[in-house]
Amino acid sequence: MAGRREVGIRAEVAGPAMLAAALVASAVALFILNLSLVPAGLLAETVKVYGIAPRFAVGLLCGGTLGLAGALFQQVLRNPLAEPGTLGVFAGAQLALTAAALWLPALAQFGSAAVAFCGSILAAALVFGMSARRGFTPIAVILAGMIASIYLSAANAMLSLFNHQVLEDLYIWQAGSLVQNDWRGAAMASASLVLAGLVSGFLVRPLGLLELGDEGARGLGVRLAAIRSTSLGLAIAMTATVASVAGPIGFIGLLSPMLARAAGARRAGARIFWSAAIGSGLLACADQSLALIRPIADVPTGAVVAAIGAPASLLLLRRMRPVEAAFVAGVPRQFEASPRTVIAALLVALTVTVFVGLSLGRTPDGWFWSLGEYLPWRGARVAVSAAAGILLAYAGVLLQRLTGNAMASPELLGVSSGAALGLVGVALLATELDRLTVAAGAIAGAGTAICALFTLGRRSAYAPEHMVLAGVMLTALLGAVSSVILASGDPRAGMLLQWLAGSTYRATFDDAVWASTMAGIALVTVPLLARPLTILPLGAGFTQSLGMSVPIARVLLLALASLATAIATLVVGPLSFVGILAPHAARMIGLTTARLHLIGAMMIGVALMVFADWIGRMAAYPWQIPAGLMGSLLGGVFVTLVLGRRRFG
Amino acid sequence: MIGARRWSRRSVLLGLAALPTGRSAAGAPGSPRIATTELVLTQTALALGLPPVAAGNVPLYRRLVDEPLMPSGPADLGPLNEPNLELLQYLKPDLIFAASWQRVSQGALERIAPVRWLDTFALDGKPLANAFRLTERIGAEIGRDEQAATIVSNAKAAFQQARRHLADGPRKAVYIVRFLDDGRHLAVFGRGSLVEETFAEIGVENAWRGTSNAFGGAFVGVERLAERPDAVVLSFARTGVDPKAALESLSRNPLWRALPFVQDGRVIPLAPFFPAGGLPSAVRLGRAVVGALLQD
Repeated sequence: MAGRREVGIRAEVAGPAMLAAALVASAVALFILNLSLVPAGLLAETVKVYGIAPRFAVGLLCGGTLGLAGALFQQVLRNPLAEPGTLGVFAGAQLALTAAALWLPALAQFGSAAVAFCGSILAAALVFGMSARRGFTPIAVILAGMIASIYLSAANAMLSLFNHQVLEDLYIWQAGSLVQNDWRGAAMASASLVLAGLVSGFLVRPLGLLELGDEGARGLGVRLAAIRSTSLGLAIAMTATVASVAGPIGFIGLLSPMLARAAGARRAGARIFWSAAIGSGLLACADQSLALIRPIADVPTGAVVAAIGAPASLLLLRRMRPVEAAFVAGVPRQFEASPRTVIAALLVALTVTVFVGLSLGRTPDGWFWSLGEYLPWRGARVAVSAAAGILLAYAGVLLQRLTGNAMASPELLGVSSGAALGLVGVALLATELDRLTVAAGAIAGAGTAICALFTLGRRSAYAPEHMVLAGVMLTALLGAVSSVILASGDPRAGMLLQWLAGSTYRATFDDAVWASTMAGIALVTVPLLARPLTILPLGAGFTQSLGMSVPIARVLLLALASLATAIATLVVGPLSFVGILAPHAARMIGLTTARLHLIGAMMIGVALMVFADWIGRMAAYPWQIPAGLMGSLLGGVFVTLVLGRRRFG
Repeated sequence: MIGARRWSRRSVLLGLAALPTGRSAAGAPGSPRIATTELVLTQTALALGLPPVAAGNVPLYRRLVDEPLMPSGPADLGPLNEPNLELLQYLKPDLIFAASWQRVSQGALERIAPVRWLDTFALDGKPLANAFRLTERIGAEIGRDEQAATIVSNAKAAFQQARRHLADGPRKAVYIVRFLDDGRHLAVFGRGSLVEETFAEIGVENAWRGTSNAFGGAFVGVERLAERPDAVVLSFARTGVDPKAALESLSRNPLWRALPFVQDGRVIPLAPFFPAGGLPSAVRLGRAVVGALLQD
């Protein structure tokens, strides 16, 4: 017995140790190569001692810090989704820097590191505040983190959109740069890593006991809330240090614990230790390779790490067994009323919203109603918003019914991000941007995303965590690509920002006709979809016995969902939350049969998008907040309140 | 949330009828009421003495351009990418000056008033020549050809004078930089920038020969300045930003301290100017460079 245990422990050390050693050794080799490549001259020695050496040290230290923090997050939250970025730490740092650059330039004298650190701590405090009442249960923390990230990023996107000429100074930080000019960053990172290492030493035992589940751990005397808040606080402080030294570096914190586990580290202690070691080698290796190619292409480390880390995590994820389903299965209906009454009420709400959207406006002298001279401006915007609302709600219902997953929506699963990536690719490559080229790019992107998603999902029976994680990764990939474009100073950056924020500003009459036609087609398919959407969720065997081909029905529905998402993304960008909000809201008000669910969700989608567009035009008049951003702000409230509360309130 | 008083149809019509008298705030009598949707166009119109009734992103103008000073009259149209069309239609300008890069997304401006689409961004990489053209063109459009001619000749005279002043002193290559808050990077201006062309006019050699983006600028690490150790560094900050803060944070940076011009004290503060601006920015830069170099 003892002998076997020893062998087990030895295997547990050998795998991760070899991986970590290989990574660190390659990083060292690259570092030596970089040192030898410094051109002789005036500053050669200074550059080696104060430029290249501290950059290498910072790579090792920040990588180790992220690996450690990531392992802590995953251990505490028992969720492979958990990584430093998920909890809004980076988004908070970024918003603080943006706000300081715009309104408090005097803060610059304290250095951007201090500003970024304070911002991340404030964001984390927000997440803590939101989840404290629920004893820091994993689901509460993750939902609070998602919401904080959404809001902080939306605020940041808005400020960048309005002031990107001023904020271009921040793009270097935003893309994650490990460039150093002295040893201060390294000193800060090493102090934080040593301190965190010591504290986590004490946390290893209780954290290991968390794996027994809440009841089991409590029975053995673990004070759950205390252990969770200490570990999370520690991990957040560590991440904040990285944010201030190097900027947002995603995926190291996600990949390292996964790699440690895949290499054989099973127990909590081993996983935490080896995750830090692997993270250290991983980031240093990536950063030193990029330093090597800098004379040819000066690309920011953080963005590249995210671009490589996203697909890598996805591949690793395929091998992992889904953990307990952390997300709710659905929201029960909230009150009893006949579907007819509900639909009638929705129709009234929808008409009022559209009417207000078309006719109520502002001038410098106050509010006024007008259906005449301003209609050409508003008409197209209202029409494309409404069409996007229909299409997103449609895609949302299809995906939710198909997967039986309450978190399935074009936005959360990353289908919208896929469409956006396709569109960005077309915008950068194509010389002429007509509507068909653009649409083809978006459709190809959405289609690829959805195919990848469902190939991945089939293995785990569409486990919510896998699906949402895939969405998080696609969204991170989109973020990485846009960071690179912004940091490069490409003149198209402004246009890209505007489009990613989901602005309906550029909508023309032709756009309105085009989008409405697509929405109309979606409406026409409703009667045809009612049967498959009712039967498919009942299971493959049952479906086949009713004479329906499961694979064909599935592929067809997926194709429709990606088409609808792609068209909607063209209009309102990848951000809005209508695709998750509308299907849930429809179900909550009692529209449960497939046909009514679809129709109700579409009506809610229209009202929401038109309202988001209108409030965006009015709220900061004469400045206009894009409909997509406004929609994500409205949707964010819903996701927290409803999905968070139902199960845990 | 909504002011209920303006809702009756009659009050709206009355209000609209009363508008023209209330809106003649800007410009001399007989001057057209113009709107400008981009910073350089606003700057040129102000230099010609005709404040627009509405301008794109007024806060950004104050923050970045600042010369000539923006009076309080013009309405803010919001972001340059999305000027508020409803507001513009409400103000009913006689003529709109917009940048040609805005044409793709804002072609609809033509439904409000005649639009002159002008190149604010020099596709040929010669922003100063473009700034001269822009001044003359806008001057002609608003019937102020004489003012435009005066501005152009004054600018040329100012450059000539600067060249004469500088000819006497020692010839040195000059970097124009703006430090970022992180204490590690800076913006520097090279080929295709207003700085480069202004330098050519006043006879100063630009020390930065590295790559630059579409606007002639580049963000690089401070160590890159070591490529010309003999240069003088003129550093400016944006309006409202204390230039000392960046220099102070750099003073703790060993790489920066090792640079020869830092050790010899050849880093000189420069008054703020807008590196992507029009003629007033170029003139302001020329004067500031003379002041800084001669004081050295």
